[in-house]
Amino acid sequence: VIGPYRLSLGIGLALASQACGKGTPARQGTVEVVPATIDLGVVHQDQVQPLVGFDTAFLDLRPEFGQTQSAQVHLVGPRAPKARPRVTDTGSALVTVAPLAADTGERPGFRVSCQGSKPGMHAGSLMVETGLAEQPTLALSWGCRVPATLQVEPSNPYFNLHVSGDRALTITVRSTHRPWVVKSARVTEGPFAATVEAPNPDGSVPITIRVKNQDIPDDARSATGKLIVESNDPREPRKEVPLFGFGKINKAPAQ
Amino acid sequence: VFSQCRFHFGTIDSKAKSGGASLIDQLDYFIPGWMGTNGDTFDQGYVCEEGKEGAALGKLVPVVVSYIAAGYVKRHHQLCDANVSGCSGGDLAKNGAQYITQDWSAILTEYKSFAAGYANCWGTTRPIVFEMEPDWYQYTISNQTQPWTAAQAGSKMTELVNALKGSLPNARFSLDVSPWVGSNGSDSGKAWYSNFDMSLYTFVNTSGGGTNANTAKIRSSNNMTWAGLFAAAGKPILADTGYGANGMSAGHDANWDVAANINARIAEGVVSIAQYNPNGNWGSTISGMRSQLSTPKVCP
Repeated sequence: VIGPYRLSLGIGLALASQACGKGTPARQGTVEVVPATIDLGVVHQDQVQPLVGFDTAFLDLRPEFGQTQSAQVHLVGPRAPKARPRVTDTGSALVTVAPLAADTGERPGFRVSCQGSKPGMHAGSLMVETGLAEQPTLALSWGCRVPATLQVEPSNPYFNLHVSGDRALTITVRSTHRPWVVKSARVTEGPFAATVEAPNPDGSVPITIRVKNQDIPDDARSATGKLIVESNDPREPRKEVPLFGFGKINKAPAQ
Repeated sequence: VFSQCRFHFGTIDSKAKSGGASLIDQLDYFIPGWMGTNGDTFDQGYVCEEGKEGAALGKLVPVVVSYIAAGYVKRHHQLCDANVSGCSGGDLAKNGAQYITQDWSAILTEYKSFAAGYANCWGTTRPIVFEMEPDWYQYTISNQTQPWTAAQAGSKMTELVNALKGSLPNARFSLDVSPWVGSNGSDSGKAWYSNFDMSLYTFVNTSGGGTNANTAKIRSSNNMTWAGLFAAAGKPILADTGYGANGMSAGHDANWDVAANINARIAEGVVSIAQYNPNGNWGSTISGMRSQLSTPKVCP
């Protein structure tokens, strides 16, 4: 808001806008005149055109399991030809980046690839140094969705250590792969124990996880662990499930 | 996450403390000021002080509304919230997506700063819940100068959660509910939530406006229902009575004092209600109806 200005009837108002702000070249905008009871409020809104940026705001990669999907991104903007971009972080080991050859006559850019080696919805950002003083860094978000065939519900099992008595919950594991069998469920970290139960009629397999009270120090306020479910699911033959308990351990018998 | 498996009541920290022990004893969580609205670095040490063991709110879980991305671009580009006009940079519902994309690196840095700050003062073993970025959906609407795709919104949210999780393994996350998503909420968010890695979230939560305790719909003007949301997101629901326009108090919502209403919502997946401006006798109201309340469907 750059007003309000008090105007007499029949008198016009001329505005000139001037560029300001780092990384912001000449700005174009609209002027909105907002009539109030007596005064006029003047609002100048504009749209920033960056000196340098990517030609896309987001890379949405969806490789099939075991495949790699790639996309090209280029720098755009009035300073892009002067940029010497260098990737400092890809955000994940699943994502690799190769610079596009300068002799192809294209704008500076990269080929970004995601390897579909791990099912799930992965996300991160490319961090790029531009070599330009006006806009030294750029970030480009990417998503990489690799379809899974194995599901665990709930995916983040939680135990309330405050409550008395034995603590146990059942997670359900299912796969679209046929025939599918769970080979084992092992706790590899933490004060927990797991038991594979008989399959449900729909083919899903319950796994009961118990907290081993005796393995938790009396003054502990939380417990973490890891469950490994091994099956013949081709995409995730070894599924890792994080286990988490909160609260000061209560070892009293159930009320 | 909470100390007992029961329907949970919460309020903002100052209201809890002014209500005294009779109110605090009935609460399971408190809500401090929205995170990231004042500056680019951690400024919520007071949460750790008021919530530390032995302090007034020491037995409660902090449920922190994270507004870092919105707060950053509001501060740096003179934006208003979507329902507020008069800011020189425009408002979040029009310019927010563009500026958040532009400033993404700085926003991630700020997230990591707050995560480190909380890890330092709150620690990494006691539970803390973050309600992530109210109305994230607004950045995908066509009114934006550079709207995101839904997939982009989901991926960006994953990055924000990971930025907090990096320092806070004890953090649990809640995904915001905009009851107007898609066709005014008619699919209860099913399509919208398919763009998010729901394994990252323990809850979903309403924010920033009143919700209906006494109807199947979350809000009368939208088509999303409580039961539909629970089915679509697969997560228990943290409900709130909300602020009014411009953050002004919307007052106590007495519909959330009726046990029959709450039990109906419990049956549809609601596990808590936050009254942002409770009456002075709210503690005794809760105490009086506690025995009539059902046990929530899930107690994460």
